Amino acid sequence: MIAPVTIGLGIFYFYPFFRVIRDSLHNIGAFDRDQGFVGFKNYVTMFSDAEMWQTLLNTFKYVIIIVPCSLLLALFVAVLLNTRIKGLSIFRVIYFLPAITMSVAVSMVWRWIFNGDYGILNSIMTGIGLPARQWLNDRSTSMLCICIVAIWSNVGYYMIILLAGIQGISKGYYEAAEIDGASGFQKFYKITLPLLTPTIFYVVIMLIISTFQTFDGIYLMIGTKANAIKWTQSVVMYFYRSAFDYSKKGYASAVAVLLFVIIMAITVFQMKMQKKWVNYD
Amino acid sequence: MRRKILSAILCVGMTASMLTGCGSSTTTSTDTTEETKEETTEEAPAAEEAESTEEVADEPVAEAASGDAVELHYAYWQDTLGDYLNECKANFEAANPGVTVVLEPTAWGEYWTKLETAATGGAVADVFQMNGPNVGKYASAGVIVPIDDMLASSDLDLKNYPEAMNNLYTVDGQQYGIAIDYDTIGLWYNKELFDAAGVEYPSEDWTWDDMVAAAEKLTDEANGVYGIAAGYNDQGCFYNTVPLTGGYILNDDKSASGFSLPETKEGIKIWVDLIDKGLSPTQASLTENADYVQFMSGKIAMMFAGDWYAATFVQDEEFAKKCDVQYLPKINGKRTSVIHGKANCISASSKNQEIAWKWVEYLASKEANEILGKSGAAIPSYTGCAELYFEQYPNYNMGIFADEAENMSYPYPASKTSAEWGDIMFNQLVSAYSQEISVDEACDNIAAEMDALLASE
Repeated sequence: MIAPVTIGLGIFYFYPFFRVIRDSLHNIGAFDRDQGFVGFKNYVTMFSDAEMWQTLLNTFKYVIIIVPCSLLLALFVAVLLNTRIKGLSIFRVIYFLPAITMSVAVSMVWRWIFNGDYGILNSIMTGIGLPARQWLNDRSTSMLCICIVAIWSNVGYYMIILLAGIQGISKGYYEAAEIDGASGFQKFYKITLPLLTPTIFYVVIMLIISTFQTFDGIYLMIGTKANAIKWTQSVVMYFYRSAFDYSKKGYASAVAVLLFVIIMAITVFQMKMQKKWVNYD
Repeated sequence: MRRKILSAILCVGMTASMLTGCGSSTTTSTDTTEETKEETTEEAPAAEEAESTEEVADEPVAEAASGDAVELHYAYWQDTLGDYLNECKANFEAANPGVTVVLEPTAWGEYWTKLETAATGGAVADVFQMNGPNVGKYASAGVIVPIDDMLASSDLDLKNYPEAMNNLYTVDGQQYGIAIDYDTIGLWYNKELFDAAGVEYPSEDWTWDDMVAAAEKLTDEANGVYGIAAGYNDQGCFYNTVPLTGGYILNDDKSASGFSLPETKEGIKIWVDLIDKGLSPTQASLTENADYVQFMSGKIAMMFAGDWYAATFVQDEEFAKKCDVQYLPKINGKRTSVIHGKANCISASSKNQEIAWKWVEYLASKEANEILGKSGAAIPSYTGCAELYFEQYPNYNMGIFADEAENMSYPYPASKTSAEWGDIMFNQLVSAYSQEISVDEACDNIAAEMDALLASE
């Protein structure tokens, strides 16, 4: 009975997983031509490559910006949408919409908004007397653009998860708090937040993993043929370029293994730390 | 706790392995489908039948005698070739019953990535279009087959195609493709912007300095109009100026690059200077909106561009009336244009080598070249057919492209590792064009990396 699952996992998970580790120790060039075992040469090259370090820095910046912003905004919206207001379901749909929109469509629309010569954003900027700029290809703003789109896309999805968590909290706590004369903020801080920590924990883990794997927004909005790619590319983007643009599959596998190790280390660390702040009551 | 860690590892591993998922080979069944069996064997020439049965002997796939339905896949990138290819397909299918040609267009931006992935997975088209920078990579990996034997037993004569094109598709003394077209570069300009600024149109005697002087007059910052497009472009721009300033990209025996020479650097600097002076949009702007898009929307007055842009320019009826083309400007009293062209190559993994060759042979025929010329998509490579192409654009000074090709062309620099050093060149120079590093520094970096690659060939 478990054969289908096992076979599926074997083909799509275990085989590629071990294959990528093996490949990272080989010199594999264009058309998958394996030029033999090279030991840790790909790793040595990777750690002595300035572009790799810049890429790691970019990726950590994404995590530092996108994860907290997405979480706080999602939490804020979730709390707001937990109240009884008119048109509640309409608001919920609006906030959830980006989560179910194809990332290609999202990226293309944002690319036009940010376009330096014909974009809406620049029309607004010049309209109110501010200077126009090449948002996506300017060193100081390109990463910010990617982050804005990523956060905008994340908020709806995580808002729904957090909202479900909030609604799972027993009304009894709030009633007791009201009898004791607690304010709205106190109720949120003393009841909602602690009881929501398991959900927040899950959201943080998923956000970190997905942000470490940022790819489509960068690929679609910056593209591989832009100077800005140097300071916006994530590890996954670098992996893609190494494997498919530069035909260095062995080296790319080493990059993938590094990403795996980083994400695993962070996730294990979070699992250990959860005792300190997550309430499972 | 253990289980939690284990589940974390699995969870992370799962996501990491998704990355490699896209690298593993895809096996789409392409080559032999037997959908239309009703086709008859009678019409197939007897000689060909004998040949293909020979071929079948060492092919494991049972694709019996030549009458069986065969699908031939053909991959290309230039969208304006659609009409020409559809006509060729119809003619070819009429002459070869049972053969269906499947045209597979892919946008330029994804063409090479897709082709390489398909070739790696063994599901690549039987015949595909090739360009100069990539032929060495595909030939030395054995992904495409040499066609010398087929040429020897064919009526085709390589003398009918430009020598520069034949040389471009020769790797290690073997011919790998027959040119479809050839192209050279011209100076396209927007007459309306010239009139508005009261500047005389470019003339045949223009020097680079004349062009810069005109660009200065044409640039109108208040209205966002620039004199010229000077963003990173190898074939379109600096390949045409480097030989004139006395430098070179690749030496004659392809053993060293010329990027460390001050003359080569000079040929690139003159472009970056145009950006520095504000006569061209910035590299960032040209990355977001391609030069020809800005040219067509009236934001750029002049651009170096190949003859094939004519087909794009006339698609916009309004703009078509506004532009024209002139010889490239002279530098140090000389002028040159790099000459390049696409070619058809046969995949080594194709199970229908015979039919693939027949398709390549047909596309190389005078008949197919005439169709190409009349379609107005590109200059046909077959001697004497170019005129048909130029006739499609009576309003433009198209004769310059033929004259440049015949009398002042510079063969497209390519070697076995072109695809790799092309990336190096781009990555370094795009930093220089973005004014982050100097042209000298970028060129020195290119020279070091490119020479190492050339030494490995």
